[in-house]
Amino acid sequence: MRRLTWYLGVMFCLMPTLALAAAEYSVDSATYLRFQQYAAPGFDKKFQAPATQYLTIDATKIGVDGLSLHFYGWGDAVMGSTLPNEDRYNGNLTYFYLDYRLPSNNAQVKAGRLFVFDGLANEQIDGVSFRTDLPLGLTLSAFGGAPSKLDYEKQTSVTIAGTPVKFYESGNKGDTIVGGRVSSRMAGILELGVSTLYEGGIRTVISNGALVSGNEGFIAPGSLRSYRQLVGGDIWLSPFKMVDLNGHTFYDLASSGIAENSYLLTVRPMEKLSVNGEYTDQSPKNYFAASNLPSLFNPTINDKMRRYGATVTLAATKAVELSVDYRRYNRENKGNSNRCGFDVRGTFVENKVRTGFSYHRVTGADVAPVASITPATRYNELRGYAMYDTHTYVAAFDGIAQLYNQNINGRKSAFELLTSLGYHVTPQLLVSGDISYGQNPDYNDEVKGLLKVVYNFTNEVKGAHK
Amino acid sequence: MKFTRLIAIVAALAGLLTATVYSVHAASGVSLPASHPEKLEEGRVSCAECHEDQIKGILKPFAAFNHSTQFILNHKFYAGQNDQICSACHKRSFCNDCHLSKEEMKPALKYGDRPDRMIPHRGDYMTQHKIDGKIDKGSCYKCHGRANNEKCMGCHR
Repeated sequence: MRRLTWYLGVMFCLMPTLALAAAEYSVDSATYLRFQQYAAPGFDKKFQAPATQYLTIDATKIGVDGLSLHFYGWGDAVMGSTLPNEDRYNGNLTYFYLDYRLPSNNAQVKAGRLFVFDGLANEQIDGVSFRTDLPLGLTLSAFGGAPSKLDYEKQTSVTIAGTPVKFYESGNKGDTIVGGRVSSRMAGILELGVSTLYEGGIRTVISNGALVSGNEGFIAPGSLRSYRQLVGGDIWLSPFKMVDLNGHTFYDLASSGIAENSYLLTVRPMEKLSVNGEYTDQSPKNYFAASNLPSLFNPTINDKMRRYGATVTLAATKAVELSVDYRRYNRENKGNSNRCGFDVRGTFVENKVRTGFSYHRVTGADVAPVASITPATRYNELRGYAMYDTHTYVAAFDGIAQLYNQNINGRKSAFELLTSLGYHVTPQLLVSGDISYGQNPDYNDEVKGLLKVVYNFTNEVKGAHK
Repeated sequence: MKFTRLIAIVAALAGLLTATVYSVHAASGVSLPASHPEKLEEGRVSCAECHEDQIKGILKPFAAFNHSTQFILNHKFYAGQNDQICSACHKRSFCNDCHLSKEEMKPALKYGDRPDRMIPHRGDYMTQHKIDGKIDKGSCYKCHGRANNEKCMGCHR
């Protein structure tokens, strides 16, 4: 929270100056007020109304072409009672960075708190990232800095062999992170990429009170490490105009094994028809190796997870799309599961009316019970929605239901119905309210209300609706 | 941080900066535009409706980026190689509607008024997550394995 306050302070000092210097800027604000009541046998009822504010600011062409500033964060205050282990005030700075795009070669430099999504990297860092195209169809990107820590990590220490060791309970972030990707492109046919990542100084972690990983040089039994190191390769291959192969393989050097293979083959025999097949496998030992929640994502479990399947998507008309899918899941120590069904979506009246319906059948493996739910991993899922957006009024209806083959907590179904109504006070300002009602195996009745105020202002004169 | 590691990082960043400057002068390639040059309609776009050829900045066909259901389900492959093409139309915060290190409200709650958006965990997910987690725990890990799992820790300790 202290770091968040520091960032916000800097932002509010810098922002007015930068906004004045920016040729284009946009502000998106969304305020949510929820109304909730909790009741449990033997306890007093608790009412609370959390208010959550999301804010996005983008200022572009700050002084020079290509220089922009981006901010996104949220804050939350709970009015009324708080629940056990719940903070009254909460917040998160998601990103706050300067971005400079050079005039050619897709060259770009970012600095600040930012997300890196490149090759195998999917990281939130406080640092710097670069990318550029190079001659001969090569591209290069890299990043470095400190991983953004989770603010719910609890710093504590234990004494091991007479030496105090600091660690972060529920944490998994290190002091330093660096990584990058190099790729080679053949126009319209092939892109091959190689990426890597190293995160050091992880002082983690604990599961059930036992230290399983500590400072450098103190790696206890278990699978977690004081560092994280991955290498990976990715491919896009299109030997014919109608065929694409996308995919990646990631190898975890810290735990010495392939963490994930994931590949997708797409065939478009006609403009309106696309058929794809996918295959993914993951090894818990390597894929879960860097989890901060090993009790749930257990890297020591002897299992192999695979999923594969196919989807056929047909744009029947410009307004209607039909999609049929099948997916099979295999876990070596839990058995096979299948999911299949279809999804129909429609957009009508110049996109003002959007509607959809889907049905899926899931036949899960009969696996060892957790609580009282299994073996009810077999169910039908139905969903239907419709919305009407006139740009003055917005109305939406959404319904979803799961129909289980067997009872879960004495109930054979779960459903939720949601209605939303909104009014554009001005083109930039939308006020809307949602109310939902549901029944499910955990709650006899569940009623939720939400009030939402959205303000979007931009002086950008081109570009898509972002 | 160890001194040698610091040196390695500084050297790597210096090398990259040099490469960046070199490439700007030597490669003179075409860049993607920072934003799409014309206003687009709301809702899902089909790039191939207007463009028949390749996206010059990344040398891939426009048709590969048509926003069909299968594209949206598999967008990780496209974004992992070419997130600059995403940012021509989407603000970074659009990704963060779902992908966050810490989130207070589940995306389906934030966007109850947008049922047309493909957003995870529609309906009440308390019961459903126990079933989905058994069938395919790997898909939970992507978002909740290393972050955004403070609430998971309430039960899974």
